[in-house]
Parts: sequence; C-alpha cells; structure tokens
Amino acid sequence: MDIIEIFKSIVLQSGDILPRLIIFIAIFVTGITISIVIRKSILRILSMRMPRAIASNLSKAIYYALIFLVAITALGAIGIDLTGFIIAGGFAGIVIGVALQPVLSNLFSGFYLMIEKTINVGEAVEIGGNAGEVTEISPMFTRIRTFDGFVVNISNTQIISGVIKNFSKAVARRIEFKVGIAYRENAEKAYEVIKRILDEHPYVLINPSPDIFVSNLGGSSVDITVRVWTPPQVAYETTKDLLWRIKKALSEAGIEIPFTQVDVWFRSPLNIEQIYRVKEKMEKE
Amino acid sequence: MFGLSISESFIIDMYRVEVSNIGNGIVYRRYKNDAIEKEVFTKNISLKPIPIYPLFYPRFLTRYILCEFNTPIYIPPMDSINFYMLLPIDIAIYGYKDNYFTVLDIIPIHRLYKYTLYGPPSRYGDVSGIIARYFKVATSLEKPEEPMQGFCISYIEVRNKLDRFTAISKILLDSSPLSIFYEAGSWRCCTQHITVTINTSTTAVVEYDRKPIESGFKSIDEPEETKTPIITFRNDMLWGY
Repeated sequence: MDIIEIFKSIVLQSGDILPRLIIFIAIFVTGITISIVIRKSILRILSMRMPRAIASNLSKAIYYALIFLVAITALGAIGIDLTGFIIAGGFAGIVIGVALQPVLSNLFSGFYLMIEKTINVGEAVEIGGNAGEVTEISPMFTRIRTFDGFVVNISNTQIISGVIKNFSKAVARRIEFKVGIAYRENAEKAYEVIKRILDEHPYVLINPSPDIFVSNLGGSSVDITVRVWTPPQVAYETTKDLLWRIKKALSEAGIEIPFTQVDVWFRSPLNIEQIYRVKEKMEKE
Repeated sequence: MFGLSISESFIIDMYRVEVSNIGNGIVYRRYKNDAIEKEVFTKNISLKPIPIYPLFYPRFLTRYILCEFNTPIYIPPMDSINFYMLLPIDIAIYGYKDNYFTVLDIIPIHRLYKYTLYGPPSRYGDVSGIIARYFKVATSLEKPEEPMQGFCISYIEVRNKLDRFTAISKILLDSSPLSIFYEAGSWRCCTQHITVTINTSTTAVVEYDRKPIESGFKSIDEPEETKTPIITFRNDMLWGY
C-alpha cells in the first residue's frame, strides 16, 4: 500500500468519524453547559437553606454525577457499546474501591464534619498543632489559614481521628500570665495595682471575676498569677494590652520586676589582691 | 439636643463637639481636654446627636446588655411589681442625607465600660452563655423627674408566676427588640414598657412593647449591628435573674 492509498483510506474513514465526533462534542458541550447552570442554581438555592460548605459540596457532587451521565449519553449517541464498560466497571469498582480507600475515608470524614458541624468555615481552630482560621471544608480536605499567614491543607480523616481545639465555640476565653515581683516589694501593693488595671480594662469580664494570687515563691521573684476572662474576639489584644499596662503601672508604683539572680558563695574567703597579682603576672609573661 | 442638626458646637460631659463648614465639605471634630479624639470629613449631610445603646464602645461585640439593679427587688408569690430603671446610653452622631443615614461617631459618656458573661463559658449544643455589656443601674418606684444625661427611662414590670417569694437582681436586654425613643430638642429619652415573667427558679422571659413609655417620642434609626430580623419581641433569661 503506497502512501496515496493510506491517505485515501484515512479520508474515507474520517468521512464516517467526523459527524460522530461533531455529535459527541455537541452533546458533551451542551451537557456540561447545562450541568454548570444546574450546579450554580443548586448552590444558590441550597446556600439559603444550609451552611455554605455543605451547599457547595452537594452541588459539586450533583455536578460530577451529571458530567458522568453526559459522558455516557454522548458515548452512546455515537454508537459506542457501553456493555463492556458495565462488565469491566464491576471489576474496576472493586479495584478502585481498594485503591481509593484513603480517598473515600476522607470523603466520608468530610461529610461527617459537615453534618456534625465540629468545625465551620470562619472559625478559629487548632488541629495537629496548626492554629488558624478555617477557610474551606471540602469533601477531602479542610483548609486552614494559620495565624502567621500560611495555608495548610489537612485531610479530613486526620481531623476526625485527632484532637480539635475550637476557639470559636468558646463564649469567653480565659487568659493567664505570671508577673514576678522582687522579694523586698510589698505583694499586697502589687496586688492592688494589678487589680486596678483589671477593673479599668473594658475587655476583662466582670463575671467570671479575675483571679490574682501568689502562685510561686521562685528563686528570684514572688510570682503572681493573673487569670482573667475576656470575649474571645479580643483575647489576643487583651493579653498584649494587659501585660503592657501592668508592667507600666508596676514601674510607676516603684515595684521592681526582677531578673534572675544567682548568689554565689565561696567555701573559703576570696582574696581579691591575689587574683590581681596572678593577672599581672600573666600579662608580663 | 437629640435630633437637632449640629450647627456649630456643643459640650456633652467631658467632650466638646465641633462641626465646621470648610470649602465645600464638613469637618466633624470631637475633643477631649482640647485633644482631638475623633475627626471626620464629609459633605452635604446633616449631623444629629441621637441616643444609642451602650454597645459600640470600644467596639461592638455583643447586642446584649445585662443591667444589675443597685437595689434587690423581692416579688411576692403570684404577684407583680413595677418600677423605673435608668438605662445607660451613649450618644451617636448620625449623618443624614435624604433617606440614608450612617453613624459617624459614638460619644462614650460613661466612666467605665465593662462586659460580663451571662451563662456558662462554652456552648453546649444550641444553648450557651452570652457576652453582655454590664452596667449597675439605678431603680426607683417613682418616675425620675429629670433623668441625668446619658440615661434613658425604662419602665419594668416583673411578674412572679411562682408560688413563693422571688428576688430579682438583674435583667438581660436584647438590643434587637429593645428600642430607644427620644424627644427631639431635649436630652430626654426612654424605652418601651418591658415585662419580665419569672417562670422557674432560674428562668425568666423578657418581653418588649412596641410603643414608647412617653408619648410623642421618636424611635431612633437602628444601626446595622442591632437591626436583626425580629421574630418575637422577647428574649429569654436562662441562667438566673
């Protein structure tokens, strides 16, 4: 068969394939367009009735099912026999099922998270040491933007099996810090100064009332522990603000916040003169 | 005075408010001890002082106000008691243009602003405690003649449905069904009639009338934060009264 005959054969075959290809593309493009419209409509309607994350995932699931139907319809329309696919699909289902076990596990964990509402989009959480705001809960992953700006994807299985700390579920947050004062200072005066700062601060809750107490007689300082409750939205800025105000107020009241001090005792009296002589000798040498 | 356009300046408590027309714009300034605390530039609007819920300073965190009475009130079994309460308010500077308005500034006229937790600190299912603005409030059995600046008169009726004496020491108000009404041209304001029904040893229901207790008073334009859809004009006190 020379090159001309091969070319003629391709042209003849393409005369049959081309209309089929056009029908396939027409059905596929129309189907996808309709699926997109249906997906958007479902998302809009469901968003009014349920949380955005669930609405988004349901509409996505319906969209993929429609795409599958469109593909089957398009293939059937151009005369491709799908019986083989169905038989093969049975075996493939088992293989795929085993292969996709982690994926399916994540998928069902995702649905569990959405239904149980353990975490929701917009909430501040800590999962596996990653603290941040939940930005998306997809069927497979949960996306968190950490407080230092990174985006972390955590698989839903990991979330279900791990420990979740949800800061947004708290109506109020307790913050705690220690203030050390020197032993020679009056602890009662320090208590009064700290109490005044807490009483004047707008974000320190009246109830539960603040707790101020001496928690430790340390090596260099008397440690005063301060526990206060604040609205969760302002817990971070309240911590910063309180520490600053307490430091300032204690300084103004003349109360020393000491640094770590170590007293060194020598068994025999130390002869300073002797040390200088040794030093001079070393310099001469 | 409430509801009147600020022409030049006025003094309220420790603040001095000045409005000046400069060029084709308006400059709003609020001073505290001669230092500018708030400055706003705007144009072609009318600026009016209006009473507002004391929820916006330092920032809006909750729509609830917990008022603790300075005098405990005892209600006999199956009886009711009526009294007046001075509800603290702040002053908002509203900017009006045709049918539109916005809040340009909040003048905090009270010395101390605090929050409190009403209820437990965590959410258990749908029931949880809430963060509320806290005030210790004055009550009286007689109507206050001339209330102090920064307070609205509120009329409260407490109904005891229990067959024993009950003491009430606080009331939780929801700013959504609660309304503030003011008399244009004066510093007087009031709320509607509020009914507290004590149902059990720990729960009570707070219900709000629609009309002001003083006739002829005008309702404030509700800011976005407190303008939530109202299904019923009531709120529950689940964690004691």
